[in-house]
Amino acid sequence: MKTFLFIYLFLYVVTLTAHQGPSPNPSVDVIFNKAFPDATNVKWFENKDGFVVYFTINPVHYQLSFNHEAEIKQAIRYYNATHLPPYILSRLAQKYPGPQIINVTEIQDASNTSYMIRLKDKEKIIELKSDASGKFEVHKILNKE
Amino acid sequence: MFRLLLLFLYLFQTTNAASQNMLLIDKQFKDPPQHVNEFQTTQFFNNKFPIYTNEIQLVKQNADALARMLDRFDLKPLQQDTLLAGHSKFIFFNQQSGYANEMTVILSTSVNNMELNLTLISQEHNKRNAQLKLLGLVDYLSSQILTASR
Repeated sequence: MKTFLFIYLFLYVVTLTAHQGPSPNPSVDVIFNKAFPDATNVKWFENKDGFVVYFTINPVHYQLSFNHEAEIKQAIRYYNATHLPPYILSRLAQKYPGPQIINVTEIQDASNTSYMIRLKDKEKIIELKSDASGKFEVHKILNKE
Repeated sequence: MFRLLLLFLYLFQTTNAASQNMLLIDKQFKDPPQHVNEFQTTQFFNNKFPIYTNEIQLVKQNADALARMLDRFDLKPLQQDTLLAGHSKFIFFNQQSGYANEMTVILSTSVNNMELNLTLISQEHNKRNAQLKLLGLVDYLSSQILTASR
């Protein structure tokens, strides 16, 4: 009877462990919650390269890409002029005093940070590409009707 | 005395399994799902996807309904439908590439104030393949419910 009880207990522990699965590495949750405690509207997706999370910390929209090993590969932020670094903002105001900034897309990876800045004036929409030092390059010009 | 102890252990085990409110399914429908009480994002990285245990029937019904819906011949370009199943939902959208449909189905579950999205079908031209994938999910969940309830 004792042997039977022992076998039962052993099987019970094995079953319980199987239900719970392997102890998950908390790194993704811990890192994400620590880095972005105010994130809202969090949405995780998987693609062929790994994982992408979209979220908002008002009013900035974020898109972070991770590889399959949960290492961050790229961070993209979408925001308006007020969140653009002051150095770039100042250079932009100097070089393009007329047009207004509609929105900014900031793209950062391990080696580089770049900005796609969309401006508008009465006649056209201008898309500029900028590096972290505020070196601008016209990417696209669209004429408004 | 031993019999009493065994009865207690059996009841404890049954109650414990029933109280686990989430099922972590394998994204490829290969490994058996795990019953858990809570979900961590890391598990999503480890090929797991959460579905609330008490909503599995709804998820199965909607997967089946979506598979039947694909039988319709009048899929429209840019058609989008959402089938709700409690905390989970199926998002279907159809794009057209030339004369061919490109069907995408995403299974989405809201948990811990975030949304996890599993692409079940990605830009599939073949209606039959899309249906098989959805019915594969139904079969996987059906077999696992039987296993879990034993």
